[in-house]
Amino acid sequence: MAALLGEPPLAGPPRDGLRLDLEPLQVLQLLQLCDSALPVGGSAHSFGLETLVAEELLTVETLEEFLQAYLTEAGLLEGVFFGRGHRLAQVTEPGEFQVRWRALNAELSALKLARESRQASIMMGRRLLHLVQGWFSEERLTLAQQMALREDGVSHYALAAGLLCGLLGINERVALAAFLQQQLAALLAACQRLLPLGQRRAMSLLWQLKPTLLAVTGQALGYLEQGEEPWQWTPLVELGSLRHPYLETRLFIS
Amino acid sequence: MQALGSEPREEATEEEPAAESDEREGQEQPDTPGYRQAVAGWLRLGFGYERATGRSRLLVQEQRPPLQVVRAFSTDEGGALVHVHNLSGGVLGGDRCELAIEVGPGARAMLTSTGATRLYRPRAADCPALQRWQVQVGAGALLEHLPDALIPFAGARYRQEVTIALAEDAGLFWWEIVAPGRVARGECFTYEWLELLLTITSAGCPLAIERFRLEPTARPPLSLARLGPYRYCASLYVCRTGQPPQRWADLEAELAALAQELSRPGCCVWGVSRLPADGLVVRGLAQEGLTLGHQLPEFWRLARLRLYGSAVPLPRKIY
Repeated sequence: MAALLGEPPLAGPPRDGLRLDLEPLQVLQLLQLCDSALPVGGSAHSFGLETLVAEELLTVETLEEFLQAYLTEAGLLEGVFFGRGHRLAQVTEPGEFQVRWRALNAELSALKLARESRQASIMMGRRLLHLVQGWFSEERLTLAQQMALREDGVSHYALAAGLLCGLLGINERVALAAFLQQQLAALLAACQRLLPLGQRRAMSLLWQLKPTLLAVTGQALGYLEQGEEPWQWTPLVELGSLRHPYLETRLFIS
Repeated sequence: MQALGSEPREEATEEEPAAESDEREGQEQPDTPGYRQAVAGWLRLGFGYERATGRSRLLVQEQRPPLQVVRAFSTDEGGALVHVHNLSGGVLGGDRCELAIEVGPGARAMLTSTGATRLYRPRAADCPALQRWQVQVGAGALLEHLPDALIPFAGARYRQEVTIALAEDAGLFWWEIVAPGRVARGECFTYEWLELLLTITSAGCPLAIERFRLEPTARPPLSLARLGPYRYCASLYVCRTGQPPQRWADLEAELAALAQELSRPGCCVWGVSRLPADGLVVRGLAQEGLTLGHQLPEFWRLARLRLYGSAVPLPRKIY
């Protein structure tokens, strides 16, 4: 916006804070990849939340506290693996890339003990890699796509999304924060179908939880820098996922 | 039960501590009045299958207090049952206990505790307590680890690392029950932190990984994302490498039916899930420890019956 005549131009945001280092094209790419409406099947899964709602544990009143704690546990794990996928873009040798890709996916599968959530993560990762076929050409992306399309080719969503952002050269911190926001938006969308949660309240929660998203982003980057393994302890949500197939009525798939 | 002719050989002596222990002890003994010397317990057990008798045999290769095994008992099906004692009655601040368990090809071993594992309140200067398990289950062997609950006292700081490697056709039943504290004394989630790590691999491939940090002050356990309305948690890992996926699908369905039957939301809930390969996990949460302790063995019995064709009695104990 042009400055009014006679007045000094408006100052931009302070420059000594976070440097995004994003080209406009990368911003647009990130917006598309982290859109909650990305057709990868995320809206078909509740990741255990439907059971918690059915048992009257999760309510609109308890939702904010739940999401905060959930992000600091499960969000941290997903965030660290997103970062590992992102950093895999620095591995240029195809053989080494394949070995590391398989190992990371196997590790994440072993960490996701609930089959429902594990399968959902794998399915979404596979769909994401399939979706971006033809969007841009990259040897390692092709390798990951080929492995994902094999019957036993496990490709978790967090790793696939991280790899894509890494290959596109999108700043890791920004991409990680956007990925976590996408995860949170997907949970809120699930809650809107399960609970009397309106658009305004859901959007308000998404807004209010941004400091938590940034804190988890920072923690995940810390774990990545230190080479440490993230903690995750969400037994009730995990049990919700394990018990989901036995609910009498299900809006989401198991 | 009949006692086996086990041959205890105490190889580790005060003069021959493990090199790592020496280093730790050098680091962890501040010159504080009343400071308790750090304890480095060590237990190395080897089980072998004796073809002539058709029975499994225990060799106590090394043991060092506070860890001790007195003898092995023969189970009805020729396995070896061993009670792992902690002579100090529990885990004290600064304790570092290492357990190396090797079940040789074809052998069957069952390990249990002599009571709940009490995690005592440490002194302020104590390092966190550590218990580390290195477990190898050989080809065609079976290991069952059926201990009593972990009870963390107020202020406890404890890290438990378990690494289990399974060979071809190796079997595993491994359970863990974690209590919120000394409930009868009014202590509930008053420990400082617990770190519980577990990794199960088969042919170098991870089957299950747990990295739990329970830290009541920073991460409220009663949050809905964690325990919600429950206080006790339990898990049982059931593995047998090389079994076809359909067998696990069938067993999962059968155990899930049991889980549904036993679950009473608000009181106790159970769930079952196949691992990425070669096994499954049973999880339970409960308000009361007794419910969990009584129901967990039902999953073990059923899974054992399906995978090994027989169920054996739980280790007998007198409290």
